[in-house]
Amino acid sequence: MKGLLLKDWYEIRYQYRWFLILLAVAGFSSATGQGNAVFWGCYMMILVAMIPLNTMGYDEKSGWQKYSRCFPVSSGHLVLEKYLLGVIALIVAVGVYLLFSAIFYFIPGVGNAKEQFFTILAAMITVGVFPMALMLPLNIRFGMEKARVYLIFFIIIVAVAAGGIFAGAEDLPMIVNFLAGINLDLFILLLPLISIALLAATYPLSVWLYHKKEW
Amino acid sequence: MNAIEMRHVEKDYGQFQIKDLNLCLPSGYIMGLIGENGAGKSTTIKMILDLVRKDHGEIRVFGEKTEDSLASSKEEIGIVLDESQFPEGITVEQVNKIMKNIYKKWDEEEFYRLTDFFSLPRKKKRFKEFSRGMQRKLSIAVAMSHNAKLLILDEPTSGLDPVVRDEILDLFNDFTRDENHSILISSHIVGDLEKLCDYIAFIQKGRLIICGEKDQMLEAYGILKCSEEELEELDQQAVAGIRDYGYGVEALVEKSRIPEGYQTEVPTLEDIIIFLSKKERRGMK
Repeated sequence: MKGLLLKDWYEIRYQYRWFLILLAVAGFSSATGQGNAVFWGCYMMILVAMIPLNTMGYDEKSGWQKYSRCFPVSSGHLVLEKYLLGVIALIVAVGVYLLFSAIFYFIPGVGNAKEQFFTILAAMITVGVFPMALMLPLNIRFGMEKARVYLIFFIIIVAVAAGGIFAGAEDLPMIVNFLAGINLDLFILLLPLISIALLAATYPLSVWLYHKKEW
Repeated sequence: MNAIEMRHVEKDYGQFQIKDLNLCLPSGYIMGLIGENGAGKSTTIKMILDLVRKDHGEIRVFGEKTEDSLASSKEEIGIVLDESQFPEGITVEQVNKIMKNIYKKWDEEEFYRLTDFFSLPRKKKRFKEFSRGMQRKLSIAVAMSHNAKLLILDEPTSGLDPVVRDEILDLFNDFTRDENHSILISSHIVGDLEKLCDYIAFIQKGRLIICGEKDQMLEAYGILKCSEEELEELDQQAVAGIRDYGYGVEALVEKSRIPEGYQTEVPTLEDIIIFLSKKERRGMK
């Protein structure tokens, strides 16, 4: 596991040098409470969520994915390494946000209000974890390029379905009542937990898909 | 104990099948896997390494079925695949640090001895800046640096100049001085295999045409130059392949099956492979 993480670390350092600057800027912006703090926080997390997915793409392209299958490492560990890489990257990104938030706490007029702080944090974790939970098994099954295409189709279908439901919601009292009954604050705070549970749930699926894969 | 055993192994890709493959590599020996492009050499190697699932049959490495314990067996298998296998931004020094944390018996000293022998720069050059030959050498260095007992090599000398190829073949030869060490090597360069191998397995269109000790093969076959009429007089079961060269024929024959008095020339391994692969046989398949 350590060797695999080390390989990805070297690769990230080589491919993503610019990213560290972007991470600092996004973390700073999300913690200021100014302008689009939520946007910056979520943007940072999406970039970070792409890290394990992009390393999988590099592995595919370089032949490392096939080669690493020949190592004395089980399929479970090979897959776990990518999940762990994603989780570590997300923790680092959240850490950047928390660090800047802590700094700005002592500067009057700057920094997020308490409610906004937790909302941004919840949104960041959800936006960071959910794509990983969706894309890791897809990447393993279909490869990087096809997985991206399937994800786009999925997003379009979900968007169209959601649009259709909301457009016709007025005629469906059940939907109106359901939406009105949702405690939005609680829902936003639950989303990260749901995303983390989904990520954990996709791990055995990913291991099964990886084990079945042929080169 | 045999290093590799394959019994009745089959794989069906629709238009291409590996059929009833039976192959055995005893410990302490080197086996060469020869065949034309698309014959099934790489598929055979991939099935041993569990990169591809076999449909039928049994494969054992060091006596254990690959389904049961391949992850632990791989600790003792050094691998060189036919394609590039390292990320483009990696250096030799970083490869050492990575492999040190993957293989329990990683030998850093041996790795650097080999990379220095191959003149591979440790830090300043990244993998993408290596020539094909340098990339190949790095793969070989890694395969031979974790105290492996079995080397599985898919075209390891491809793209290397003759001098370096010769040095690498010497390395492989040294590797098998230990009677517990074995090598399965696939290559198009038949001359290399003739120098190196104890056993030869020739695959064509997914079928194992011949598998046996190299020296016995070279002893058993001979090249007969004669007229077509003379050839027709022979037991056709003795004729393994024919090449028509205009004013006569050349035939690869099993010496034990032809009458005494026929003068045959000593074939090279390449001759045997070429003749066996020729599709044209007079009235025979």
